[in-house]
Amino acid sequence: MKINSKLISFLLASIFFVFSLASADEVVNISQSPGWTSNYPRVAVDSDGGIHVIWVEEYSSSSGDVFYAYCDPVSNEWSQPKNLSNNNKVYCDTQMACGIAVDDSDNVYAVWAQRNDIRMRVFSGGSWNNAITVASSGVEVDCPRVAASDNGNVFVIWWTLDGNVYSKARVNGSWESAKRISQAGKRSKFPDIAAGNNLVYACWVEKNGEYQAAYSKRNKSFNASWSPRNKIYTGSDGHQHAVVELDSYDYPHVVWTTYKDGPRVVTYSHWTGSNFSSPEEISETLLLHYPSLAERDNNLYACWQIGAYGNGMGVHYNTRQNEDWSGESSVPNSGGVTFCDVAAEPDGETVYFVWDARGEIYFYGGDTVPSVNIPPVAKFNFSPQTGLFPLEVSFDGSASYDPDGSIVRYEWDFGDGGVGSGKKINYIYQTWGTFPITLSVVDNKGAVGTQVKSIEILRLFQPLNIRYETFIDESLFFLRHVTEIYWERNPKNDDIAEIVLYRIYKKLLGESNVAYRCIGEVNADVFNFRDTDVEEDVIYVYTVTSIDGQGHESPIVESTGGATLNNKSDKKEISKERR
Amino acid sequence: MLKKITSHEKKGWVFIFWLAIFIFGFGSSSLAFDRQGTFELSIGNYSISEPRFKAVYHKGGLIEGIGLSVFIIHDIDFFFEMKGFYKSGELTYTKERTHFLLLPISLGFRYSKPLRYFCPYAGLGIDYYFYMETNPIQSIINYTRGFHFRVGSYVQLAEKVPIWLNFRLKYTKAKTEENNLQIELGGIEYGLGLVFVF
Repeated sequence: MKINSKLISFLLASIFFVFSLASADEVVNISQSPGWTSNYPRVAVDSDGGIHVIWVEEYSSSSGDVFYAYCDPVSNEWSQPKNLSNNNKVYCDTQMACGIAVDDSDNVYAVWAQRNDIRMRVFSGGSWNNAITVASSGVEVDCPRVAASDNGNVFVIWWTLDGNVYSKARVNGSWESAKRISQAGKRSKFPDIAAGNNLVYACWVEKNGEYQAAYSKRNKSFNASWSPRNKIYTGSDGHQHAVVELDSYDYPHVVWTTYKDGPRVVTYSHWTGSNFSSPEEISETLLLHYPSLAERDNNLYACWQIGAYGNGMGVHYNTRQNEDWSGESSVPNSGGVTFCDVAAEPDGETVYFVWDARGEIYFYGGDTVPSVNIPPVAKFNFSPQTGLFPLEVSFDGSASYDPDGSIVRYEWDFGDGGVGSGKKINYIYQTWGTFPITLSVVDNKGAVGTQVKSIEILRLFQPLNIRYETFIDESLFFLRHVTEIYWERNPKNDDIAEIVLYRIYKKLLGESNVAYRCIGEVNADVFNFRDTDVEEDVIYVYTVTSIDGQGHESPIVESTGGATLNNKSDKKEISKERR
Repeated sequence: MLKKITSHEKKGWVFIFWLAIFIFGFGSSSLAFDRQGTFELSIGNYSISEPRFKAVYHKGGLIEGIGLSVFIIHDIDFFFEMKGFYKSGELTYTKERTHFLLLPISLGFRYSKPLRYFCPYAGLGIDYYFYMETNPIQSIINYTRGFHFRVGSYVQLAEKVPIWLNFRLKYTKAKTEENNLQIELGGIEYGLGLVFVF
C-alpha cells in the first residue's frame, strides 16, 4: 500500500494539535523540548487562575536558559515556551536555578542564577520587561527564589556556594542593597522566601553539626532589618530543603525533610504566635527530596519527590485544611521526577503540580483537593469588661462570619458552668473569678469556629478580723446571753467600691455556709454589732459581709477570725439561785 | 434547825429592843384621848435586800403611800396600807434601761401604847407585792405574798390637834420566783408619815 506522505503529515499535525490543546487537568508536557534537558520547574498562579511556569533548559552541563509557559484560565491552553534569559548562561551548581512569583497585580517575576549573578525579568502590562541583574557576587549563586507582594515589592533570596544566604528587596520601586541574612561561619544553603501582609520570612538550612532549618524575618518597609537568625527546631535531627509560606495572619508555615538514617520524612512546623510548633511528620519515611509548599486561604499544599535523584518514583503531596493534614497522596504519572513544585487555584479547590522527568517539564492539574468548607470565624465582644458579682454581662457575637456560607448557630459557654445560645445574649455571673468565655459558631455545613476570651468577675472583700464574744445580760427577773461581733475595715475594697453597709450573718456551729442568716446591718462607719437573740447552750458562728452603694455584697463565707471568747460558762451570773 | 443570825439582823433586833424600852418604860397616857382610827400619808425609803436588785437598780429608793387604821379593841388596831415604789436601772451588760414598779399592799394588826406625846407601836401583817418590770429582755407583771414586822411611834404635834407624825420601821419578807430565779423583794423600810386621827 502506497503511503501518502501528505496524509501522514496531516495526521501527525492533527495529533500534535490535539495534544497542544490538552486541558490543564491532565498530565501535560509543557516544555516540548526533546533536544534539551528540562529541569527544576517552578509554578505560580495569578488571581485570574492563569498558571505561570518557568524552568531551566540545560544545553550542556554548564549552560542553559530559563523558559516560561503560561496556561490561559479561559481557553485552558498552554502557550509555547518562551526563552526568558536567552543567553545560554543560566547555570548553577544544584540545578535549582530559577524562581517565580506573582504579585497582587498579577505581575510575574522570574529570577534565575547566571553563574555569579541573580537576574530577573518582570511580566507587566502584557509584556516581559528586559532582564536586569538583581545582584552580583564574587562566587557562584544558587537556588534563587522570589516573593512578590503588593505595589510591586519584590523580595529575592539566594545562597552562594561559599555557604551564605543573601536577600535583596525592591520596595516602593527602590532596590535595597543585598544583605547577608545567614549567620557568618555557619554554612547555609537552600533558602526560600515568602511575603505576607506585613512581614517577610526567609528560611534555609544551616550547618550545626547536621544541617538544620533556620529562619529570619523583616517587615516590608524600605531597608528594614532582618532579624537575627533563629533555629526552627532545637532537636538534633538533620534537615534539608526548608521552604516557607505565610498565612493571612503573617504566621510562617515551614516544611523540610528530616534525615532518618538514610530515608527522610517530610516535616512541618508553624508559628503559633509565640514559637514554632513541634515538628509534625506529614509523609511516610522514604527516600525523598525537594519539598515545595504553597498557601491559599490559610490552607497549605505540600509536594515532594519520592525516590532517587534523577529518576524518582513520583510526586507525592499532602494538603492541610482547617489545620489538619489530609494524608499523603501521589500525583498520577509522575514517575521519573527529580524536582517538583505546587500551586493552588484562587478558589483553593484545584492544585497544580509541575515536575521534571525524562528531560521534560510536566504539569498536572486536577480536582485533587476535595471541596473545602471553610469553617466560620467566631468573634464576639462583651460589656462590661469586668465588675462586681452578681454581674450581668451582654455578649454580642455579631462580628462572627463564615467566609463561604452562613452561620446557623451561636453557642456560648460562660466558663462558670452556664451556657446559652443566640447571636446576642445576656448572662448574669453569680460568683466571682476569672472565667473563659467560649463562643462556638456553626456554619450551614456543620463546621465550627470558636473564640475564647476571659472575663474577670470581681467581688467585694469581707471585713477583716471578724471576732465575737458572748456575755450575760441581766435584769431583776430576767437573764439573757448577748454576743458582740467586732470587725475591721478591709482596705482591699478601697480600689473596688465604696462600702456603705456591713451585713451580719450567723449560723449554728457545724452548719454549711448556706445556713447563714442575716441578723442585721450597720453603716460602714460602725464596726460592731450586738446579737441579743442568743440561746443558752447553743454555739453560733458569725460572719460579716461588705456591701457597696449598688447593693453588691461580698461572699457570705466563714470569717477568718472567729470566737475570741465563748464565755457563757465563764461569765459569772449575778445570782446562782437557779433551779 | 436554828437559822444563823447575821450581824445585820442582830443590829436590827437590838434597835427594836431599845425602842420598846423607850416606848413602854417612859410613856404616859397623854395620847390616850379617844380615837377610832387614822389616815396616813407616808413617805420613806425602801431597800430591797435582793443582790440582783442591787446589781440592776443599785440601791433603794423612795416609797410613798397611804394607810388607814381602825381601832378594834383597846390599843389594838387593824391597819391597811398601800404604797408605791419605782426604780429605773440598767441591764448588767448592755446598760439598757430597765424599769421596776412595786406596789405593796399590807394588812395587819398593831399594838400601841399611848404615852404623853408618843404612841409607840409594834405590829405584824401580811403583804401582797404587785410588781412590774419592763426592759428589752422582757416585761412582766405579777404578784407575790409576804409578811412583815413593824415598829414605830406616833408623835403628837400639839394637844387637841388630830395630826400626828408617824416614825416607822418595817421589815418585810416577800419571795417570788420568775424564770427559775428566786427573788427576794422584801427589805427594810423606814420613813415618816403624816397621820390624821379621827
